Amino acid sequence: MWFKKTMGVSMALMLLLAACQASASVSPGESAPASEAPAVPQVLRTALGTEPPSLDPNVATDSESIQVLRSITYPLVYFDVELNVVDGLATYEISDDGQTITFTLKEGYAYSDGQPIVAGDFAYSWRRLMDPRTASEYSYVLDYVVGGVELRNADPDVDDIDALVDAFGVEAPDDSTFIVHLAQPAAFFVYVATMWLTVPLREDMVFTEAEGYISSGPMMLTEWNHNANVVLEPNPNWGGEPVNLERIEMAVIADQAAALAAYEAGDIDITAPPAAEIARIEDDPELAPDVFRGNNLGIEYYAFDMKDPNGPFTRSANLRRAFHEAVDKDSMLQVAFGGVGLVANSVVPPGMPGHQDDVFLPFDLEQAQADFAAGLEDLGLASAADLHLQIGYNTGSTHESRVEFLQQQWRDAFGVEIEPVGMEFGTYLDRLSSDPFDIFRLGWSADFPHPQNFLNDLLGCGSGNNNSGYCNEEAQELMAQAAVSPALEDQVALYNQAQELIMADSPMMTMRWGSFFTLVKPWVQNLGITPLDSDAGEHFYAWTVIAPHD
Amino acid sequence: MTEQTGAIEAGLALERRKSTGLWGDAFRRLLRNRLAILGGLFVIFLALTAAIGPLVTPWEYFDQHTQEVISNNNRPLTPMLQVEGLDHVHILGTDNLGRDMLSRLMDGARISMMVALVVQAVVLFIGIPVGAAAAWFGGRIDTFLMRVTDVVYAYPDLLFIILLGVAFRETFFGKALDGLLLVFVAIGLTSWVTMARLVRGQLLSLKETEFVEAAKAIGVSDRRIVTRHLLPNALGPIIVAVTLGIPTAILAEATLAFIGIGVQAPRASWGSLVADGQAYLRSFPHMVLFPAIAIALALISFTFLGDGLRDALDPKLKGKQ
Amino acid sequence: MAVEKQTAEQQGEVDVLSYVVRRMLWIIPVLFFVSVITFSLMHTVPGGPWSREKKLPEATVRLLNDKYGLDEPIVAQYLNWVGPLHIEDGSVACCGGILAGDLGPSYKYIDRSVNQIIGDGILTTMQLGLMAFLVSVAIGLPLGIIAALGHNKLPDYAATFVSVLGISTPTFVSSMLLIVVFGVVLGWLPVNALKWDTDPTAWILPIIALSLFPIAQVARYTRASMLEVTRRDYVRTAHSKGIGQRTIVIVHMVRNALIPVVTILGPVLAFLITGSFIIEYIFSVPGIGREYVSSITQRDYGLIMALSMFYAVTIAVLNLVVDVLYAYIDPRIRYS
Repeated sequence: MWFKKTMGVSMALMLLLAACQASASVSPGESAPASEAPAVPQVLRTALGTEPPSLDPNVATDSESIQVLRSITYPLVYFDVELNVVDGLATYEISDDGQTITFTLKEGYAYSDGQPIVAGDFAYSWRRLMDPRTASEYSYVLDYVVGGVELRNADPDVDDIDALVDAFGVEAPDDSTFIVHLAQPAAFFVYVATMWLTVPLREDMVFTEAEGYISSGPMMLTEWNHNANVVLEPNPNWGGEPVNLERIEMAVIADQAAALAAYEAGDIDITAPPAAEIARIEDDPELAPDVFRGNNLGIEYYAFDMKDPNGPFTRSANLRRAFHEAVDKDSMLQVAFGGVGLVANSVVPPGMPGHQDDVFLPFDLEQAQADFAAGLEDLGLASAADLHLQIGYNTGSTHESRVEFLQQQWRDAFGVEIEPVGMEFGTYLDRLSSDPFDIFRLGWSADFPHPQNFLNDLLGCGSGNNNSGYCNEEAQELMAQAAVSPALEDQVALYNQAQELIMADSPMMTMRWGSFFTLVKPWVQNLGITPLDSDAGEHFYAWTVIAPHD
Repeated sequence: MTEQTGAIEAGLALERRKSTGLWGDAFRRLLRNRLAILGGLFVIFLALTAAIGPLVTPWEYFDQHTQEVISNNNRPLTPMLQVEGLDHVHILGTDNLGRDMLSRLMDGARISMMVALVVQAVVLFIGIPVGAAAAWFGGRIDTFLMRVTDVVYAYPDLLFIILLGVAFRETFFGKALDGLLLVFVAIGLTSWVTMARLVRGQLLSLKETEFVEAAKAIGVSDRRIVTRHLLPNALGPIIVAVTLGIPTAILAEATLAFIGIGVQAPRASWGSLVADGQAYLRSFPHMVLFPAIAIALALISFTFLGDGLRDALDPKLKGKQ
Repeated sequence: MAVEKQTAEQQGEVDVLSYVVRRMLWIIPVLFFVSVITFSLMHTVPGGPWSREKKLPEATVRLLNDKYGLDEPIVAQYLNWVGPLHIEDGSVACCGGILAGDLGPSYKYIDRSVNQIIGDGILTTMQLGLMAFLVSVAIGLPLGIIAALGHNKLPDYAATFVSVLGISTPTFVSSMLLIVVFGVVLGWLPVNALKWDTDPTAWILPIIALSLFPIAQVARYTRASMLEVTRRDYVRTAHSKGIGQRTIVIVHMVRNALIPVVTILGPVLAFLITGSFIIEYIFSVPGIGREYVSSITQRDYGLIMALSMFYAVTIAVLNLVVDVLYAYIDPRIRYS
C-alpha cells in the first residue's frame, strides 16, 4: 500500500557489531537437519501487502516486490542471519587502495532456464540500474562507482547517455570475473552488492508474468495471479545450498487485520499484525509464543521547515530545540507507537557504525519552556498565541495518533495551538519538496549500513532527500572529510562530530528507530528475521523447514 | 394506535375530514404515531447533545490522559475501568491516547449532525428543482436535464471527492468545519442525482393522474400544480430518500475516513471514530462499538421519524390513524 | 380493438428501438464529459506519478515525462489518450489511445499495461457485484413487501430493524465482524476470497458483506413504494370488486410498486459493481476495485482514466436499462 513505507531496504553492519546480532532472531529448530525429511508438505505460506508493483530487480523499491525477489534472485554476495557478509554467486576481493572490488563468480550456478550465470550479466544489470532511462528510484546506491553520479544525473538533452553508460565503472573481462571501480574508497560498498537491485540480469528477460520469468535464485516464479497470489517453486538449476521447501505461496492480502485473521485461521504462516492488535496478541496465550520482535535500521522523524528564510524555525534554533525538548518520547512510543521500537535520541540508529548512545535533547519541560521564551524573543513575538504553525503528515496510515500526541505535548508545554494538516501521500510529497509545512513527518530506511546514508542523505546541504532545507557548513565539512577517509574508525569519529553539531541545531525531532513485530507459526523452522528485513524474514524463506504439525 | 385490519384496509377506509390545512393535519397525525415521536425525541436529544454536551463534559474531546493509559500497561481504558490512584473513571473508556470516549462522542455528534444537514440540504436544494422541472416540462428540457444528471451520475464520486478535497484543502472553504464542509458539499454534489431521478419518476407517474388533469382543466398554474399538488404527493418517497440519505452520508463519511479523507484530526465525527476504532475491533471493541451504536440509534430515530412524517404527510391518509 | 392493439404494439417496438438507440448515442457525450473532467482534475492536482519518497533526479523525471508523453501540452495528452492518432513532439502518428483499444501504460505497475490490469480483474469485480445484486434483490424485495403488508406491526418493525442494522454498520466494520465470527472463531468459512476460483465458499462472506447495505436499501424502497400503492384507487377498486386479496397484492400492488423500486435497482447494481473497493480490499478479492483508491493516490493516470471510464460506462448503461424497463413496466410512460 502506498502509505506503507518502502522499508525493505535496510542493510546492517558487519559482524563486528554486536548490536545487530542481538536483534537477529532465528525461529526454533535452526539446527533441524533437512535429512529428517518431515512428513508434512514443505509449503511456506506468507502474505504480501499488495500486488508486487514490479518484479524487475533494477526497478523494485517496495517491501512486497523485494519479498518475492529475494527468493527468485541472488546477488554477488549475501549475508547470513547474523548479518555477516558471505559469498553469494561470487567471492570478492577489495584492492589495497579500497577503490577496486573484484568479484569472482563461483562454478555451477545457472538461471532457471538452464543458461549459466556469467559476469557480463552483472555488468549489464548494473549499467541498466544506473541508466536514467530505467528510472530506478534506488540507482543512487551506485553513485560511488566511477561515472555513477554523471550517469544517474545525465540530462538527455545535453549528455550522450550511451557514452556515459559505456564509461560506467564496471567491467566483465571474462565470464567469471566482474570488476567494480569505485570513485573513492568505500568499505561499506560491498553491501550494495548484496542488494536485490544488483542481481544478474539478461537482456532477454521480461518481468511481467510468471511465464517466461527467468530466476537466478534458489526458487523460481511459477505462478503470478495478479492481485491474488504468487507461487514459487525450487529452481532446478540452483547451484547453492540445497532448498528443502517444495513451494512458497504468497497471498496478496492488503488489509493487515485481514492478514492477521488469515493467520489465526491457519491460512498463512507469517504475518506482521497491525499496531492496534499488539496488546491483544501479547495477552493471548495462543498467539504470544509466536511473536518475534526486533529492530531494523530505520527512523521516524518530524522535521522543521528551514527552506522558508522567514520561517520561525529557520530564524530560531531556540524554538527548534524547545519543540524537541517538550516531547516525551517515551510516552509517545508507548501510546502512539504501540510500544514497538526504540526511542530515537539521535539520527544514526543502533546497529549502524556511528551510532551514539547519548540523549542529545532530553525531555525537559523547564528547559523547553526557557528555550521557547528565548525563541519567541528571537522572533520578536509577544506570546505563544502569535505563533501560527502547521504540522503536516500523510493520511491513511496511523500517523494521526502521533500528530495528535505531539499537538497535545506542545499545547501542554507552551500553550500553542498547532494546526495539523493531513494530506494524501502524493500531494504530501509534492508539497514537501516545494514548500514544506512548519513541521512535517517522514521516515527513512537505510540503503546500506553507513552513517553517510542517514546524516548526509537526510541532513546534508542540498541533498535531494533533505526536505527541511537544513544546512550546517561545519557538519557538511566533517562529512566530506569522512567520505574520503579510508578507515571506518576515522569516518565514525567524523560522523559523530557531525551528528553532535546537527543535534545541537535540532533540525528534526527524531522520534523512533525502526522495528518489527511479527507472528510466525511454530512449525516454521530455520527462518531468520534480521534488521535488514521489513518484517517478514524474506531473506531466508527458501531455507525454512516446515515441522510436522496438525 | 387504532386497531388495524391491515394496510389495505387502511387505504380503503379513507374518510374525508374538514380541511384544517395540510401541515396542521400532518402534525396531529404525526403526534399519534408513537414510534415517530420516539424517533423525533431522540433526534431532539441528539441535537441537544450536540449543542450542550461538549460544554458539560469534564474533558475536551482532544484531552489526552496518556499517563493513565501507560499506567494501565499501555492499554486503552475500558468503560468504567477504575485505574488505581485516580479519582475519576471514564464512563465509556478512552482511546489509545487516553482521550475520553464520551467527550469525543459528544463532540462527534456535533459534526455528524452537521454532516446530515449539509449533505441533505445540498441534495434537496439541487435534486428537487431539477427533477421537478424535468418531469413537468418534459421534452427538450427533460432530455437536457436528464443528460446533465447522467454526466454527474456517471462521474465516479470517490475520484471527485478526493480530487476536490486535494484542490481546496488549503482554502477557507477547505478548512471550514475542520475540513468536513468540503467533504460534505462534495458528497452532496455527487448524490443529488438520485434525488432528481426519484422526484422525476414520481412526478411523471403522478402527472397523468386524474387530479392533475382536473387541476389543469380548471386552469391552475403550472407552478401551483407542481408545488401544491405534485410535490406533496411525491413527498413520501422523498422523505424516505432523505432519511436514508442521512445515514448514507454518515457512512460515506466513515468510508472516506477509513481511506484517510475527511475531518481533520484531532476532531472526530462518529464516522471517523468508527473508522479509527475499527483497528481495535478485536482488542478494545469499546472504541468502535460506542460510535457504531450512536450511528445506529441516530439512524433508527431518523427512520422512524421519517416513516411517521411520510404517513402524516400523505394527503390520502387524512384522518386515519 | 384487436387490430388497434396490434398496430400500437408495432408502433411501440419502433419507439423502443429508436429510443434505445438514441439513448445509447447519448452515452458518448456523457463519457466525453466524464473523461474531460477527470483528465483535467487529475492533472491539476499537485504531484505526479514520479513523486517518490526517494526523489528521482530531475533529468530522469524529464526523461520519463518524455517517454510517456507527459511533457506534451495537456490537450495533446488528452487527444493521445483518446486516440487513434498519436501526437508526439509535434508529429502525428498512428495508432494509440482508447479508440485503438489501448488504455495506456500503468505508472504504478510499471511493467504492465492498463489493459492487462483491467483485464485481470474486471470479470471478478463484475461477478462479485452481480452476485451481491442477486442476493440484495432476493432478500430485499420480500423483506420490503413483508414489511409493507404488516405495516406498523411486528413484521414491519423486524424488517425495519434488519434494514437499519444493514445500513448503519460501515462495511469495513461489518466485514471484519464477519471475518472474525465466521472465519476465525467458528471457522466455518474462508476468511478471504483468495481461493475464489477453486472454492465457492470463499465468495460467501464478501457477497454478504457487500449486500448488507443494498438489501436494506431495496427493502426500504420496496416498503415505501408498496405503502404508496396500497392507497391507490385501483387497489381499492379491485378490492371492492371482490378479487381475493392475494391476487390484488401480487398482480396489482407488486407490479405497480416495482416502478419506483426499479429506479433504485440501477443505482444499486452500479453501486455494487463500482463501490466494492473496501470489500475487495478487506477480503482480498482479486478485482479492479481495490486499485481505485491507490491509483488516485499514486497518480497512475492511465489506470484512473480506465477505471473512471469503466465506472461511467457501467452506470450509464445501467441507467439506460432502468429507463427502458421503467417505461416497459409503467405503461403510462411513453418513450420520447
